[in-house]
Amino acid sequence: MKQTSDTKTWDAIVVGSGATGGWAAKVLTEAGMDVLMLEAGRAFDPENDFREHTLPHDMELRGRPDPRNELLQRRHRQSYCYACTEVNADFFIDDVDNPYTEAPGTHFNWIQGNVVGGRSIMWARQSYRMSDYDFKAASLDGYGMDWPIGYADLAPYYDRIERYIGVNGRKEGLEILPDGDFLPPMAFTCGEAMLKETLAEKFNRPMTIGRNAVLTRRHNGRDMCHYCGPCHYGCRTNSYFNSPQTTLVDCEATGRFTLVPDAAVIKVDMKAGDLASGVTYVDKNTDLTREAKADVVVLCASTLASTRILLNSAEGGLANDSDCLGRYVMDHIYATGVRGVLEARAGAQPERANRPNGIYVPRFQNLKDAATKNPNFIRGYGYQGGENITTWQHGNGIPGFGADFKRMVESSTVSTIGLGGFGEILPRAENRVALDADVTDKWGVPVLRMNCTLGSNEYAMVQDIIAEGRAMLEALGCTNITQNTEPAPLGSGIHEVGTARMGDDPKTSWMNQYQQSHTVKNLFVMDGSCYVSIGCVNPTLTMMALALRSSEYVVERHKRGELA
Amino acid sequence: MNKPTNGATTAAGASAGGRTTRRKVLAAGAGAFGYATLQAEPIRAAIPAVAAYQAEGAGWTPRLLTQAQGELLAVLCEHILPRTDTPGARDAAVHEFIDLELSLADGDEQLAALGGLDWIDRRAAEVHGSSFVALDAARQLDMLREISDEHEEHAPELLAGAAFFSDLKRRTLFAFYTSKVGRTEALGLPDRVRVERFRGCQHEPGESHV
Repeated sequence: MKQTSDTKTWDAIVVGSGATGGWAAKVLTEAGMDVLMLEAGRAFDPENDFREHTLPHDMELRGRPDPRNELLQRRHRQSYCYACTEVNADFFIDDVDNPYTEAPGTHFNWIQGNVVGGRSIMWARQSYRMSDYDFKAASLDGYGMDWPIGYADLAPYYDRIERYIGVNGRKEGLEILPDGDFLPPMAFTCGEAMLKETLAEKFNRPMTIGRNAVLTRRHNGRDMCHYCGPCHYGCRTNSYFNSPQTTLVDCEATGRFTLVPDAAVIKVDMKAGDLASGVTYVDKNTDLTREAKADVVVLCASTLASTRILLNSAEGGLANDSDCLGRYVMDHIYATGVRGVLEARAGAQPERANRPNGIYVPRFQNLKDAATKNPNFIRGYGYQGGENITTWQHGNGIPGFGADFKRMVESSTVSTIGLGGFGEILPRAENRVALDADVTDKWGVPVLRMNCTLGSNEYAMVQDIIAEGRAMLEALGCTNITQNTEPAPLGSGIHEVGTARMGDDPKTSWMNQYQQSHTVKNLFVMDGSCYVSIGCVNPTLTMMALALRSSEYVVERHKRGELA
Repeated sequence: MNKPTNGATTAAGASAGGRTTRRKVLAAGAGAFGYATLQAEPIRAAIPAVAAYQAEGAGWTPRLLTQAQGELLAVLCEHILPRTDTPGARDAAVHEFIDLELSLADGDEQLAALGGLDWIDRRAAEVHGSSFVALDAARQLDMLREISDEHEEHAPELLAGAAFFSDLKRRTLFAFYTSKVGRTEALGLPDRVRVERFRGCQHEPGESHV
């Protein structure tokens, strides 16, 4: 690892090493630019950090939260996330050193990585393309603002991202869910195949297998999935996409890449001519503040972390003439859904292979066909879920105890089908993050104060997620249907986006379509900050496609000397 | 009596006889794809809790309970999941896990569990004039049946005992089937992660899935 020199001026600084930072650095270094990447999290070592084969009996408390585990205790907010456990807590940020606050009466779950690769290490890998229903949503229903680009602008970049990272899936020919360049799809279970048939016959609704960034065959020198299950603990066979095992390797190979972990960027520094000169960061190993200089600054710190940097860079927020910075926080409606017992599959044997994927029911309402209009809300939601077969957990529902009880538990299985809604949250200016006037982090840097709530459109959608989910499970023949009608606080979907939205008009947007500040020409923000509306599909694939497109724009403009 | 009897579990597990069990079905599938089992994973020792766990010896001293309460707990757990053609709760040291879990729980949870154990012995004294552990197995079973969830309702004087026993059943199921013994001997799953392929639904269109 090279030492960073405070006197050197880099061609570019990329802040953050996750999904988008990896792409930005790959494009820039491969085009000949000297890149310094600053990552707030710790260094990463796949040989020792990947622990995906830990079984319950390997852990003293079998994976239950252990009050003696200090790592986990310092991640009391992070452990809201299903993927943050005793096995991998050190992939996540320390909540004690890195607090955030919430406006009275509001709650926000901000789940952050703390490792090279960021959340690309623990992400759920679901990879869907947005469509013009999303990019041009405002034109269709009059709410909010269109994106300055459309599907056709991004499609070639989606292609290139998918070909590189490897996304499995099945082509369906749906306008709402554009097909991609897929590896072979994963299979349905029988219970899921039954659900698909039911949805086709009784609802005329398509259902597809999840599209996710896991290799179903050897691809680009990486091995195929070995179906152990918990990808969020890592992958020794390198079979799901994360930046340290892919894009960052390519960066390293150029010889023009310097990665500095434990470097938490505080602010963007400015120079004459309304240009960025570099960044100031804390070296977390020494707690010393350092500066780095560059021709171009690219923030990929994750949406809210990048926004925090920009808010800390200037009074009122850097380049914030539009007053958009920190506003229009979006995420997906999360945690509401239904689950029912599929009696027809009682006794089915679960496969020993753990498919790291589920099923997907694409949005089926408020489409161009007038018959799909829902009078109660605009936009829509999709379902993610699948069949689960219990090997012993159903014992809690079998009365009695003793030898006969035990034989019954061990000789039976129960199949349940779950459908969880992922709904579009509308962009509202009042859903906002700002600097807290009183609270700072361990290094004295002001933290974010979240002030975000769900609105009436979201609550109407939740009702529909439950009602339609129940109807579909009942039509399948499910019994004992349970439901969760309480959506989780914003942030819980870990799809937070929108706080520096893109647009053609500098009065109503922070950045242009190339994720370039309208006023600071050598400052780019290439994470989810740019989102104008969120649609209802998982955002990382789109973020990477946008970062690829914008990075090539950076290369071209930098060559022409237009950014310095 | 508190010593884990893991040595017995292999024999118990191997004595399944001629029945076709799920364990056998799954075992028959092992290695079907010709993949080697992934290598042993020394990095698990990198997780502090795992390392501490592995360093522990075989002897057992209860953390929260007295030795007598620990033995009562072991007897109760064995009644819930007795040794059959697969190992039982004591084989999997379920009582040790529950004692550990309770030792880390908050005060209310500890009091509820300790109160429940006490209730069992008080009930045994009232009805039979003896501690629960000293009763013969038939009398023990009779006592547990009257507080079991096989009844939808319980007499008022049994409600506290029924609530405790229901909670203990939940704890016992978790502790047994997440143990190595429960996973491998009772459920027939491998004790290490193996390389697998996911096959999924193999039916032709129109063919029944049931």
